[in-house]
Amino acid sequence: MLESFLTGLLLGLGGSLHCVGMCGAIVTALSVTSKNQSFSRTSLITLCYNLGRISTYVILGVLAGFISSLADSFGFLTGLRILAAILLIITGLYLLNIWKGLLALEHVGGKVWTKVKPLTQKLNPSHSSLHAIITGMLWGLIPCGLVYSAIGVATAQGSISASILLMFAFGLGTLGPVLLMGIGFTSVAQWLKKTWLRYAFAIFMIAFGIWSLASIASHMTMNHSKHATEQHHHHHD
Amino acid sequence: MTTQCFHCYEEVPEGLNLSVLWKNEQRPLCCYGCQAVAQTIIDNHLDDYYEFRTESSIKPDDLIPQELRDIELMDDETIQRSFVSADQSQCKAELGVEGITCAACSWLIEKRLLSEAGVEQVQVNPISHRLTITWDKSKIPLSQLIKKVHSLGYKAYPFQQNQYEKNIRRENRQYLMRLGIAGLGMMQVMMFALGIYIGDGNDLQLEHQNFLHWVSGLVATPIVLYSGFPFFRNAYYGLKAKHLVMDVPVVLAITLAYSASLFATFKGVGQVYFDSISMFIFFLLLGRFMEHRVRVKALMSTQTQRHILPLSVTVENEATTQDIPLHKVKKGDRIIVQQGETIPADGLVISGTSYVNESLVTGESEAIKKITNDHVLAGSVNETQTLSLKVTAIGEETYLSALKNMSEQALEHKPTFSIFADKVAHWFVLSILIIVSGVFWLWLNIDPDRALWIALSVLVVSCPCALSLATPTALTTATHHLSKLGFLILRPQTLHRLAKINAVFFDKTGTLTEGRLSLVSIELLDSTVSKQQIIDIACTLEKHQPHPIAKALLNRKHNALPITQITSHNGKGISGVLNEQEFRIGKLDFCSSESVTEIALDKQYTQIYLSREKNLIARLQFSDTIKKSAVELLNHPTVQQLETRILSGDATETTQAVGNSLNVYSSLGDLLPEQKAKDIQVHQEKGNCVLMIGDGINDSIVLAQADVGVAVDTAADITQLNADAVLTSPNLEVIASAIHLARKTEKIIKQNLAWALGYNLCAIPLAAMGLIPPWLAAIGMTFSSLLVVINALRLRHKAQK
Repeated sequence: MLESFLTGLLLGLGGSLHCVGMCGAIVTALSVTSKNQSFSRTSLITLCYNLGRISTYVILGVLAGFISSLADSFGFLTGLRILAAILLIITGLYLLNIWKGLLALEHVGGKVWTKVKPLTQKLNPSHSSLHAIITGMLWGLIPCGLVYSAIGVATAQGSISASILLMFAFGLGTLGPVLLMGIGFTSVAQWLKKTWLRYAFAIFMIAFGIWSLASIASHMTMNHSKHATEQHHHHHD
Repeated sequence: MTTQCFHCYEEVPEGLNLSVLWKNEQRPLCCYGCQAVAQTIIDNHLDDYYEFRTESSIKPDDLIPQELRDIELMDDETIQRSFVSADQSQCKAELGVEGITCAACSWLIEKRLLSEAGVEQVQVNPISHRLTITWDKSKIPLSQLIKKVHSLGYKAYPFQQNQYEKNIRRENRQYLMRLGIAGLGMMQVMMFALGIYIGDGNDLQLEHQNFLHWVSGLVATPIVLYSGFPFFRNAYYGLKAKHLVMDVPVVLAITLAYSASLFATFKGVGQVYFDSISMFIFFLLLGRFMEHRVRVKALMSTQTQRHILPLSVTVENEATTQDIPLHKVKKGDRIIVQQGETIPADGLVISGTSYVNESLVTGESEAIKKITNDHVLAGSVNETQTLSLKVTAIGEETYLSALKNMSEQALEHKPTFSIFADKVAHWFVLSILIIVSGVFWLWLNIDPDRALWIALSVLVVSCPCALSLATPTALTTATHHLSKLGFLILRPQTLHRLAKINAVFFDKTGTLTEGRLSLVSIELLDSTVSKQQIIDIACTLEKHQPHPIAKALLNRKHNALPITQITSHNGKGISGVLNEQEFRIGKLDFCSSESVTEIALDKQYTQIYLSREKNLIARLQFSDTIKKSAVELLNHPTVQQLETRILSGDATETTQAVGNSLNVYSSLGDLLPEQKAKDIQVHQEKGNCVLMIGDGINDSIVLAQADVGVAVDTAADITQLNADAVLTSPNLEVIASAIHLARKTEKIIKQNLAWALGYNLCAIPLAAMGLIPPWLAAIGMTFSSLLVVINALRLRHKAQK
């Protein structure tokens, strides 16, 4: 469980290197249109918006966990774990600007977004915190490769609670930078956009993916079918 | 060449063909995420954002010549010395920026400046509106960079601060550091605690659990030692002065919990409270920080007055003019202020007639006409014509500066209520310590395992922080808002007494009326003198008097006469000797020894007599108009519930005429300042609490006698005033708001004290029974403190209404 939490947190933190440019802008855009609002008001809206976004991640975590535990009971979990590892590697390659295969996945997600988008037009987050929360929940569905890889890893957890925890931690990890961006500390973005930081995170993701694949492989060659040992092994990944 | 994403400025991957239509043009995008965001932003009509961040769309105000001159001057090394630190050609400057409203603004400024060659680092803080820039002086001059900021529609000015502000800022930074470390550490420790908690269910191995305890302890140590340092310091100084301050139980709780946890971690058995300690310290600091912020914010707004003065001044020397830096201007210099420019120093108009807006200084938004010999104040804006001035005060000596210093001092007053809280605190803390020891001893006998944490809970739950935070926050908020409205509090406890006021007394001339008398008629009572002679004598006698009558007379054309032995007779009149004859000017009974019946009096005029050897030779009539805001003040619901009374030195008839037209409860005229003070004293002995509003110089003993004395004379030197407060705004209605706000403040302080005491009374027994674990106690205490602070902050909204 602790592993799920830490993995999610790291993914989120790393992911925010990518998304401050994208997601941070949303809140900024909202605050520009409602000019002359006090700093505390903007902060509140930013916070609500982000809480909404995280709750969407948690809901996605519930779904992922459901799939995961279902797969676990049918013995497919190893398959999901391999998929998750590959997804991590693809994301890493994407961040390294080597292979943009992740875009295909985002493209699929974009189709979902076209259904969600009309809903956002009915809301004005600068009006009330409830609007801001719901807007955040909707914007949480933006097609984003990093969210997808987090969901991928979440489906490989094997239990609903672990998946939820992972997605929650992912949200927490992204919270800090996006929050700071939203209320105007744009220097955060300047710093986070440093290429080496981004590359370091990409390499970390790829390494994590390869290591998962390797441990799955060694695990499969060593004991083929014992379910109990797999449970135990899971703790040490 | 690679293209940049329209939305996030990342590179667009080759072969990807995504775009969004904005302003009739297809803009390239780097990924589907950005496409979704950009499209939605545009569809939701939030695209002001893109507009905003592309600089071309912002129309900067045209720079006025003074500003341009100022900006060029910023390259001057002597001027740079005060706000630029240089290391060879690498320079670092701190600038204040005006006009930042949101994140996009800071983003835009940073981006624009970073695109200049020679600029290495730019940081814009959207809260403090501060711009820190590091650049290479040999590549680009500072004025160039500042012009860039101006071209974006913002205003940048050098940021200087005095020692006092520096201290406040350093304190602020330290608070933030401590708070940041406590906050980050707390999150870490809580995550570990969560790990241990989750691990408990999943039979986490003992060594793992121990490991997490060790790491938690490691993270909690800087929180205790660094973030918690202020509590230790306060407790130490308190104890050294043999005083049980509020921080004593806090420190006791922290030390106990921390050492018990360390012990348990070493031994590998027992309860570990690192998470509760971190939380406790973090939220305690948060509460204090909020209180501190209120003060800093108030200071920041006095700070804005600083940059309103220009950097450079045009000095007139014989026939030539020359631009010099403001700090080189001396008293007595002749300076020229063009239309649209800000007046850089207090001065006297030598030539020119113009409308001057003093709103930044006095709060009066309507421009005031200034003619030769009128005083102008530094910080006001010359609106219509060029003025030539003689400088009477610069820098720290200006009215603006005095006002700023006074408002800073007002914010620093140690309020009575917190003195009261300090006194209570001593006994409060003592009883807490006794209760805690009692509870500890009791539980040691019932269940030794639980004794420690129950004692801890009681300590934490009863922490009287709410008591110590609530009052200063409320008072600072109220004081600050009143000074913004134009009601500047000069002495501590004024707010407290203002809340109790049930009678308002006014001076008439200059307070309820404009105080600008004009001479309506001169009636000769002796045929041997001419009107011009009367004027000459009267003017010479009144020459140096501060009274409005003197001003009205001196507006007339007159010749100075060789009058000797000019003496002022305290409110009655003035006497002097000319050609061995005594001349008197003033009230009827002062000028004449016999009782002369006044003839054909027109009650609305103020009457003044002139006598020679106690024989009346002339009667002068003056008129004055009632201030519009006086009518508003007396019709204000808050004031209508109070007893109102006019105490005036002018004739009873004139006073009553004004009183009747304003619906004042009672009006007394013909009073000397001592008599006014006596009248107030009589009322006070009847148990009334009197607010006196009057002239700061002529009525100074009257203001001192009243429970709250408010001076309305802005021309006086406010540092010398014998008043509790000064009305810097010409709008009298502000006084009603002040009374109203003072009452609200008092109410909120009482609410907060009631809450703090009630909460402790309920929570302590529960904690003593072992029903509240330490972490819950920490949350409860926090909630209670934040509640009182937020309650106090409500005053801000009240003040705005």
